[in-house]
Amino acid sequence: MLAGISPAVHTRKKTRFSLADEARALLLAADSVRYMDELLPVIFGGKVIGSVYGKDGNAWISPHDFSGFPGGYYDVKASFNAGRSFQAVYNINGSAGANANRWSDLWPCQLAQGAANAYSGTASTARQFTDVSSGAIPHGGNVTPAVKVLAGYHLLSTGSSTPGCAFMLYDRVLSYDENPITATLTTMTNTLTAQRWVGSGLPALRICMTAGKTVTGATVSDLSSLIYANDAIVGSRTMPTTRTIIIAGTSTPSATQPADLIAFDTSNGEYGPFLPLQATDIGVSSITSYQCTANNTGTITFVLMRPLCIMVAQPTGIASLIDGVTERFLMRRIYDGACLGFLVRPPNQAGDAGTYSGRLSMVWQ
Amino acid sequence: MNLHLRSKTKYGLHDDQRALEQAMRASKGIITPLPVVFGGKVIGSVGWNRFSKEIWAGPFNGYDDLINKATSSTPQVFDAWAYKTTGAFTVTANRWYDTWTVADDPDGGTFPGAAATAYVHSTSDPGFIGLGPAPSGGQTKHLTGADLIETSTGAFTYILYDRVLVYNACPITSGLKNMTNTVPATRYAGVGVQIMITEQAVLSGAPSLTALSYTNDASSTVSLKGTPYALTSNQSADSTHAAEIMNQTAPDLMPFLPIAGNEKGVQNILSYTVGSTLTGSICFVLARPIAMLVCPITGQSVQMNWVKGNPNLFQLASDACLALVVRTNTTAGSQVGFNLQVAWG
Repeated sequence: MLAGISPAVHTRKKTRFSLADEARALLLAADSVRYMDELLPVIFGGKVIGSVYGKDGNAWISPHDFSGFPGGYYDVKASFNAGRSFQAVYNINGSAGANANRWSDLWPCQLAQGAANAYSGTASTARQFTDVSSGAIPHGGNVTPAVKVLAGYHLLSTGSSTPGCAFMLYDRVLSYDENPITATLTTMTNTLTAQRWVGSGLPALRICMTAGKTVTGATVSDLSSLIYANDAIVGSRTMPTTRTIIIAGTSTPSATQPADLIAFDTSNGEYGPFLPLQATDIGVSSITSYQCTANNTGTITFVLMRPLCIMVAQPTGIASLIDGVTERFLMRRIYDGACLGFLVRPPNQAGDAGTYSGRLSMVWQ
Repeated sequence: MNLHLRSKTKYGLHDDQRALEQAMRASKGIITPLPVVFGGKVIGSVGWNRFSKEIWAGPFNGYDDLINKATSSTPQVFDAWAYKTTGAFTVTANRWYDTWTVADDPDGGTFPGAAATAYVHSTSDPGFIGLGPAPSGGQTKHLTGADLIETSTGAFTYILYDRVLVYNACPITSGLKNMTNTVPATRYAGVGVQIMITEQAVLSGAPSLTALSYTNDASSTVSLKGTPYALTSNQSADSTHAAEIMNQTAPDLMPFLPIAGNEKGVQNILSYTVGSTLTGSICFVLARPIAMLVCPITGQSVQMNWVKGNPNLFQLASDACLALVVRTNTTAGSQVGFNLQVAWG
């Protein structure tokens, strides 16, 4: 459609010519295809800048979205060749062990993290994370207006039950640290808001509930209520509690001890990494409040994150090497300031205690 | 030649090949990738003295286009994380179970609507697996892959299905029972849609399904083949118990009732007949199977690429109500975390 040639679409120039030149080229092409009942690409300045279609004397124009990698695989290769890439090295020491069949957060164990930094936020207050947060995996800095994506990974584990061990790469956006386990309603302070993944057309975040600085006591206490704002930033959304969500951490996180994810009644099988959401919600933008069934000692952490990909470990000492462009279709967005971390879930034969290292391959254009 | 299973133009496969080779020769020395237009369509691209053939699937004009959409300013990809179990009970080995009602992540689904009356599940009902932001006008969503992380013991087979239409709370009353079909299915027009019978409220015995009449994809009224079917029942389906799929005369059958060899599927159910009167109720589900997922080894994680492999970029209806049935080779229930990856354009 002619109206589709909006300056808003043209935030980046696709050719060596100007935006007006591109628009003129598309219009000229549209004039040329009237009565041609075929979709045809428009090549200008050596690139496809859109497509045109003609029928019965009319013509339609569809400018391409040229953010990211408009040329697809060729552009990915060209970006690597041109040095627009980064190999993000990570080193994680989870040697104190993660529980079998359960998800744990490796955040406190990431190199340069320091256990003291992992959960140092003000109690029940939104805390933002970026790539300069202590412990975040470096990924090559800001590249805007280019778009950076995950193009592959390499994973090497020394864990005791490593084969099949699943790792989830995530972008840690917000956390609420040091939340008390109390039967009194706790209202969060949300002065700071999510800086990534929340907005129109974006999926928002999921909630992990993990151990806090202090291990939970023996008193049985469940998470009886959690109110949040959803992906559309609509508040008063309610977490379902059909299935009991038990708060039961087994250890205190440290520089070598991953933080347990504590959710769900394990008598009904183990559990997934995220708290369930109200029907029709696809994500969360902030937590409003929560309440437990009983007072208990210890603290819990709510982490709002966006999962990026799953990585599966090979036997101990054997690297897992995946091309995320052709072998698996990853290409997940790494925003400026993304705070990268990992969850881990050892298989059910045993827990996993080891060190995890490797690299994440980033490419941008 | 394997890439040429379908011709993209009105010319022959060899013509496509020749066009690509000719374009490659013509582009020597040009480092910018260029599309090759032949027969009015882009059949591939050339650059660096190589050529790349395009795949055509739904809205994606090739793998390059899929990459473009995944990396656009608002990424047109989503990872749908879910965790589903069969619940807290011992299952029968080698039988299929529907995890629809079990409260996990997402929360459990229910059996809404009047008894023996067609009910179209929408994406506002609880229980379905959500697939991310709604695409803008005219765009369609497609499966690109999956991760499966199985927790319990045994080997598991899963079928991801679209819960198209259901008849809930169907009584077990000897004789013919007519269904009420006020609302039609909103997707597939019966093509690929098959019938499952699941338990709802536990039955006081094991009745026999002696007849079932349905409307097939060609809008013909058809009688179910292979009757009678023994319907087994163990317990009610609820937030901690998956529903046993009842129409299995032997443990190793698939969860769907058979259709005739020349049919593509089922649009609705008109009536059913059982041989005895019992307490309890059953649910007829018109399901569109979408993908099979397999965890062959206890505790292992499995990753699937559905861009290149079956079910290649399957298009999901905008109102698809996705759910999961599972079959295990042991009496241990299933607890599986999975990530369905979708892209749209």
